Amino acid sequence: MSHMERPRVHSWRLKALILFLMGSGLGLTLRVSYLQIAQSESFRQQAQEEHWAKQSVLPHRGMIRDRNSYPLAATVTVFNLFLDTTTLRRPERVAQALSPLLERSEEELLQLMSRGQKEKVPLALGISYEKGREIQDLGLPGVVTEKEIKRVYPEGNMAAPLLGFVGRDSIGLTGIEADFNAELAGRSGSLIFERDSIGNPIPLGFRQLVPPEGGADLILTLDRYAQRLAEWGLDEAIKKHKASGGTIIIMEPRTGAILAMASRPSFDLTAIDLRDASRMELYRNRAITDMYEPGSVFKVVTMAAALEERLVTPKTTFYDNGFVVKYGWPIWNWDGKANGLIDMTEVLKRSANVGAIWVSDQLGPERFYKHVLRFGFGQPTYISLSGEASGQVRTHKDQGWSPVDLATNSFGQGISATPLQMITAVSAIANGGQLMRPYVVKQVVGPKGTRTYQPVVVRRVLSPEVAQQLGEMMHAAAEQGESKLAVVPGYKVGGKTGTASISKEGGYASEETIASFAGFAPLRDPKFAILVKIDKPQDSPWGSVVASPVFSSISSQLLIYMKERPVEPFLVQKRG
Amino acid sequence: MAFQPITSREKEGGLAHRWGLPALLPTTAAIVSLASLLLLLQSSNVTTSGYDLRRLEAMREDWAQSNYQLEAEIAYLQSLGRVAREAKEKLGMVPATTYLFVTVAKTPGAHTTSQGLSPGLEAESQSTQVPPWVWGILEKLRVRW
Repeated sequence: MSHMERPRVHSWRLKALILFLMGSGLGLTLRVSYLQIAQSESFRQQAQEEHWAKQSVLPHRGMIRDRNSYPLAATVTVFNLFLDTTTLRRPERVAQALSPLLERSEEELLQLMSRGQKEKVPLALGISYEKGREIQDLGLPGVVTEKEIKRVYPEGNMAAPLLGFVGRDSIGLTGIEADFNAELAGRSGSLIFERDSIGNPIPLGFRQLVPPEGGADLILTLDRYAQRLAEWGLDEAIKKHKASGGTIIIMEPRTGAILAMASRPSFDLTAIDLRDASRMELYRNRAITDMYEPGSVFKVVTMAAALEERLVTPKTTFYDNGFVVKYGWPIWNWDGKANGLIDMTEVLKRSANVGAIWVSDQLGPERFYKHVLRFGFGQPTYISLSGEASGQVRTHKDQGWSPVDLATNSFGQGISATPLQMITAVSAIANGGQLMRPYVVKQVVGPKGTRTYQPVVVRRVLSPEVAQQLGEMMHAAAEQGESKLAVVPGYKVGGKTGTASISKEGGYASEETIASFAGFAPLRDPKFAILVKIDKPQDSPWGSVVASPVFSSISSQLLIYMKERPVEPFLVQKRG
Repeated sequence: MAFQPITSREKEGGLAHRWGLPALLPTTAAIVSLASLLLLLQSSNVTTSGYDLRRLEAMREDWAQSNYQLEAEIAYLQSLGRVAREAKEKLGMVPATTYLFVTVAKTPGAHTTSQGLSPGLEAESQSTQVPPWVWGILEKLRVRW
């Protein structure tokens, strides 16, 4: 065979290798195509997510202030300090640097650091912003700082059930914080920036900040001094009479503005524990959520109806023999006494149940319930706070009503009302006959402007003449009746006591009462109306003993605060 | 050596010969260096401005937070609880129990506060407001009640 002729070798191994290489190449090409083309969008998005970051920038929550702009709730940013033991280096140096700032000894800090836990070890919570920034700037390895937005209360727990509280994410959960959360919270901003593979912002990279819009401040109708008086008065009465709780509301009759709203039991705004179910009942605003039978305070509504219908005058008389039998049920005066021939003013002064029943008989169910409903009972007041109860009024048109109900309703039993409904009705008498819508937020002051809430007249319930007549009768009841402890030296006031049995299943609790007093001062052009309601006092059940003195004490201080001139005999000196 | 005139050949290729690559290179290098320096200065400026911006934003945030903290501190100092505590514990004051009311004759032109209301509880209707300069004049004239 010559060198020009090469043997033809058909090697199957070579072919197999070629095929294998070709197949691998094809496979790789297909795979690359799949990744680069079919999956490109997904990878592009992933890269985008890793490269770009968007952070929410929390807005500053607005303040809640009283009517004189004193802050009741404010927001500050604090720092929480943690130790990451996995990245901690040179603990002695870290302890030495932190010790003067945290005002803790180095040994104490070293002990914390030596615990060896993997998760974050809290070192200090709620440090001031300034101190937190100082620690942050030190850049200590293993020391982690986290910002937290915190609500602070300069006046302490004042009006806690009314103000409510916020959750950890600064969203209002109860009270005004929840009901006006949209106004208080403001609007979050955003920060978009480029970040590196470990999440740190790229210093020269793209960065876009949309600044947050701060929350609006709420100016309440509350006066912090009036609120303080109400809370002191309530605490003192509860302690003195070993009561289970109570409510005091102070309202401006002319406008319906709430000057004070205090309830007990209450809670600590800085120690909220939502995991404890037993504490949930503390968080409600009892002034608007709790219903009770008003008792004899309600007699002013019965009397108002009869006066307005011109069925009686303050001097109309009837004979009170101490009890009356209604459809087989005997009903007695509270003291069991027969008062003889008395007029309508005496009915209020002596708080005669028999007198109230007589008046309701003159009215009849149609006119009686018409006026009760016109005074706002049986429906919410629409004070713009959530959780408000409607109260319960069973009229002659409702199933289950019996004629005995007309008799008992006339002196405030068998009717449920909230404290707010009761004081709103009394305020209507005080201001000349107009039922006002109660309100607690006066202004919303935000970055876009100020919104002011105006008083709202719901309806006229009494003519001015009838309101004045009834005011005089309540003045007689407060100063000459069984509630003499409501007297405010130097001033003329009007009011009515109430001692109501507490309803329970199947009847009423025999020993327990709700002692109350509703009144206003001064008699001419009243500046405020007050409802004092004390629950289950132990030493005395009577409103005249338990609630009247509280009204007197608060009124006397409030009248001085408002610079109300006392009546002439109480002026000590004259000059000029 | 005597001056020798430039030949035409030298004239034609003179400039190219004189201003050839060896001469252009340093010039180009100088221009490029200058341009790079300008670019560097500009990007350095941008970087510095960027850092300044971050720093100023952080400073603004710090001042804003400081303001909020101070507002809260002022509110606490003005709080009723603190004022009462300071009055009792530091000044030895006690709650008033007797109030002395003194009436004085009102002289013509004298100003009185809104009828029966404290500064915070203003009447819904607008009461007449006395401008501050009138008070100043009254003070100077020492109007006696």
